[in-house]
Amino acid sequence: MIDVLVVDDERHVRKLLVKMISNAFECSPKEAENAEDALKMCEKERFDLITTDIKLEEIDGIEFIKRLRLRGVFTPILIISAYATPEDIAGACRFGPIDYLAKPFTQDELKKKIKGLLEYKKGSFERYLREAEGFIHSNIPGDLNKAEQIVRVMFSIMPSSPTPHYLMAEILEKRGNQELAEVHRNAAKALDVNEHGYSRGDEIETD
Amino acid sequence: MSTDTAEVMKLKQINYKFYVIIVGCGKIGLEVAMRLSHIGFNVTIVEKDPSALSLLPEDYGGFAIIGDAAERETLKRAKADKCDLLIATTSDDPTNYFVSLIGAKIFGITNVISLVKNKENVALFEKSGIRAISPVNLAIETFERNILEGVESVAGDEK
Repeated sequence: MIDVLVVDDERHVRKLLVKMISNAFECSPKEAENAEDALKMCEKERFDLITTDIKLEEIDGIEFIKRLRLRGVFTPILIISAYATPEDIAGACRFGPIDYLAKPFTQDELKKKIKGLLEYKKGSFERYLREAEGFIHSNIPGDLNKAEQIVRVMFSIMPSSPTPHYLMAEILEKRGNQELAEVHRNAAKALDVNEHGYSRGDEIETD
Repeated sequence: MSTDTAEVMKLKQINYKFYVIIVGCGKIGLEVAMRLSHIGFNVTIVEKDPSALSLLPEDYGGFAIIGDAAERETLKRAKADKCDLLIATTSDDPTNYFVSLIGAKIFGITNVISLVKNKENVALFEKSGIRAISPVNLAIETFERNILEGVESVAGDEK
């Protein structure tokens, strides 16, 4: 089950995308007609994936991605466009994770691209996790702040994962803020449906 | 739109795996595109005239490409190489024939169906491996069937 937002000004493409994605991934994607609406929706909730056209009214797709990233939303984005130039794509790739699919496309092509982006997300999440762990356990002053920044990115990549909460609790505890640490630990437990605890966290827990 | 019969429900398992290109967004092309997209085909309409695309109804779910399908570049843009079925529905037989041939011979589309206005042309299309649908022939056959059914019921009444 994934949360997807589809941004496209052409109603029939939006409709097809929603149908294809819901068929392939068993989810019900949300739709937005323009970038402004999409930005508003991204403020209210977190998505696992956003698909966007480049040619949009008022705010175009590239600008939309820029604004999202500026707001600290690092959701993987699939650009779906018929007219994107190589320059467009190159420009957008700085705001990764991003992939590109030309219109029209087949169900298989779409599925492959989305799977790739979701896997990339998982991979980068794990990279961040290791990095954050490193910073939490180093005793160099200022590293806790770096760890906090990384954890904030992790929140935006996987909002429903308990792991960033566990990490945040560690950071706050090290700073001596027991109260807030407890809040995060409880949030983590609430999100931790399978009660895995913190899978990579043995070293953290025993510390 | 008709309600979903068991047959349509079965077809819905197609799940957009079947890619169809429809050339021409006239009365026929439009309706065929609508129905196929509703069933769950992945449909792309190719149309020369941008204003014709505005006729697409709200609940059409698929792509639309503006361009001349008789140009190889346009069909390439429509990803004809990935196409499972090509349907030519323009009002011009030579265009339909040409588009169908490009689709079959250059892009290797195995399934090609074309509208054929002039029934004299049907043989030519079929000789080239294109399934031809002639409205004139269909009308004649339907008339014939209707008339024969009428005759049968009259003959039945007399018994």
